[in-house]
Amino acid sequence: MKKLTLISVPITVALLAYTSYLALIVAPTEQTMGDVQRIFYYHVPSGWVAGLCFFINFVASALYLWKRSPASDALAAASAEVGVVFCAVLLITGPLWARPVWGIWWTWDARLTTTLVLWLIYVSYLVLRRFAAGGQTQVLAAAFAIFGFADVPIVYMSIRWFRTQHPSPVMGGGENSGLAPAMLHVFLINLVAFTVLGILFVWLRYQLQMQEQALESAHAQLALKGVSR
Amino acid sequence: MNPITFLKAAYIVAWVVYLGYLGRILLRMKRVEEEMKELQHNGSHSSRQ
Amino acid sequence: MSTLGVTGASLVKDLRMEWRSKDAINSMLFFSLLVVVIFSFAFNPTAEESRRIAGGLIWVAFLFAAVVALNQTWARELRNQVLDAYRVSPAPPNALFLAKTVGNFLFVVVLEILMAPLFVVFYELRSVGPVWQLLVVALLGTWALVVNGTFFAGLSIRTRNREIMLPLLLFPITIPALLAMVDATTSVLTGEASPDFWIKLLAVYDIVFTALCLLLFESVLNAE
Repeated sequence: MKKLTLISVPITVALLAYTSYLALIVAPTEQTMGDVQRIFYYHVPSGWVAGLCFFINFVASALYLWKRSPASDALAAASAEVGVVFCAVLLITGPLWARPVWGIWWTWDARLTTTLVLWLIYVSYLVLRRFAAGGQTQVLAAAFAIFGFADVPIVYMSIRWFRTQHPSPVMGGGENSGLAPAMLHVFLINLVAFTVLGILFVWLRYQLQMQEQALESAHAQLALKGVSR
Repeated sequence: MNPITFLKAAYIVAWVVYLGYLGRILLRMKRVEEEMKELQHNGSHSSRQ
Repeated sequence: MSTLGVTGASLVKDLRMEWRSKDAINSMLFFSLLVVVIFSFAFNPTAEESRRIAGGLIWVAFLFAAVVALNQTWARELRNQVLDAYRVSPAPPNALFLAKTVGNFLFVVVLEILMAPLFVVFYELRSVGPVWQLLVVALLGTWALVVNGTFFAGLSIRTRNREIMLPLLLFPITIPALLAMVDATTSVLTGEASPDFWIKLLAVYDIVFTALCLLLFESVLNAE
């Protein structure tokens, strides 16, 4: 287990360095947006991994409510935290890309706003985990995770309608309507690399969660021994 | 501002966040392991008394 | 006793206690009155402007006021170990949840009835669209706030800083409902657009989250 960690971390970092090289140097420059478009190779995979993590969180939480296994709770905690990290990168790189291309940092359009709300929901999930007392944490967190996941499609629907009703600000450009083959190639490799990074994070964080649980029960046992002696 | 500045900023932010998070997890894992070892050591020590 | 019987008994108890103390309704009333006055100073709107911002203002005031009351719902039961007694009794958990939710719903509806004339007076509101649509929006929207609010109040009662935890959990989840209420109210008040989509969205939101609350409340109540 330990050895696997030691090997997988440098391999993943090396893979990411290679894909960054591909994204920054090898991929052709986009015609209308110029070199800024290269943010795309970080931005979109981060979003994909965040979505994947939140989905894993939902499945693990539902599984926990059903079977009550500590492992699925640890997986839910791990994936929510990793998802928040990836979502944060998505939210930071987004405006940095929008500013030079659209001329604005932020627009309240459906996708951006939904991402922001998603991020807020999972931050409150983490806050709940931190402040819930003792053994109740798992159930409370799992219940909230189900609520959060159910909310996402409703948020998207509502904001889409909200924005189609109102005049939309400077839009256009941006999305990949038919990516050039050379770009697609680099993009797919980046997607794979980021997914590997996400899985590595979740896996490490999962192990950490399990270790912390073991530590806690060891503490409890020791205290019990002290009392009985 | 030069668009390249934004590109650089985005890449730096992404790397800093990801590597920072990785470092934080590894650090916490190490700490938990050490505490576990200490606990086991103390536990066996005290039970021998 | 049946679910309905337990719900009724529990609801009557809550209503009677509220009728004697009037704690929840008084604190909500005063709180939303303060919000109305402060917003009026902060934005200083003309009648035309206030018709545009009123939707947001009304619902933000009610949302904040509802949180004040929701925080109190479970506190009393926790103090007197009623929740523990409830856990060991054969009464269905959802009956307790429904009683609390309906109780809170009634409190917030009373608050809205009392506050509505004040909004009209202070902001010189006059609806351009049909008023009955506002009623539908208010009922659906209040249920949306209260059903999740009661559930999350039950969640946050078991956390360390419970007073602040409720808004932290409730607000992110409530965003689509709040958006729907605000936009529907504004569309009716200005008469510029149809609120149909928002009413449908609120109905879907209510159904989805009421079902989730009823599905999950038992696990939350029995969480060790």
